[in-house]
Amino acid sequence: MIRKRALWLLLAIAILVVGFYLWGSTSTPSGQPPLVLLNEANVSPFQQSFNAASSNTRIVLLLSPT
Amino acid sequence: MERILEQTQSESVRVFVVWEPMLPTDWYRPTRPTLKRVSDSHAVQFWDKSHLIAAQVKQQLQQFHGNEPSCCDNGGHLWDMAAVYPSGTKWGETAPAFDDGPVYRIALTMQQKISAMLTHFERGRKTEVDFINGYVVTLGHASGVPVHMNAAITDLVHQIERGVLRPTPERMSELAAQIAD
Repeated sequence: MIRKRALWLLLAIAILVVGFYLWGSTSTPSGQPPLVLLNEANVSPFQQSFNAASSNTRIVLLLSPT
Repeated sequence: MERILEQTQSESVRVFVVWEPMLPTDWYRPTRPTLKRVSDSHAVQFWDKSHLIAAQVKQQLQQFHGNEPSCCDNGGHLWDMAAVYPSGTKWGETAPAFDDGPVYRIALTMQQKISAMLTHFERGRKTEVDFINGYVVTLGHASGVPVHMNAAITDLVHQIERGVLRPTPERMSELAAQIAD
C-alpha cells in the first residue's frame, strides 16, 4: 500500500516537473537575455535593443507561439 | 532561422523574435520549448500580446514604401513575417529593406538578401568582387569587349570597402544612373 502511494506521489511529481518545464517556464536559451514583455505603456525595450544593434543587419520575426 | 544565422556569420546579424497571439491556442506567453526554436545567442525574444511591433512595421511599410504589406496580414495584424533592416538605421526611421512571409518559405530568399558580401562590408573585410566582376573586367579589357556594368560594380564595391560609401539602397540608383550615362 505504501509502495503504491509512493509510486503515485512520484508520478505526480514527475508530471509537475514536466508540466513546469513545458508550460510554466519562459526562460530563454542560454546566452539570450530573458523574454521581454511588451505592452502599450512600454514598447521602448524593443526600440532600445533594435537601435543598440544598429551596426548590424537586423531581422525582425513576427511569429505566433503555437 | 537557425541555419540562416549559422550560414550568414551570426555575429553580423541580430534577430528580434516578436511572439504575438494569433491563434486560439496562443493564450499564454511563449514557453521554453517555443523559445528554444531560436536558440542563437544573438537573438532577443519578446512577447507582444497587443501586436504593437507588428502595427509599427505595418506603419513603416505604408509610410516609407507607400503601400500595404505584400503578405502576412491576418485580421489586420502582420504575422509569420520576416523583416530585414540594414545596418545604420534606427527603429522608425525607415521601412525594412526586405519583408516577406511565411517565414519557413522565404528563409532561402532572406539568406540571399543577407549576403556574404554585406557581411564582409559590415566587418570591414575585403570582398570577393575582384574574383567575380573584377575578373570579368580584366577579361573584357584583354579582349576588347566593353564591360561597363561590371567595371561600375567593381568600382562601387571597392569604394564601399574603403569606407568612402555605405552599402545602402541608394547605391543601386547611383549605379543605374552611372550605367545610363
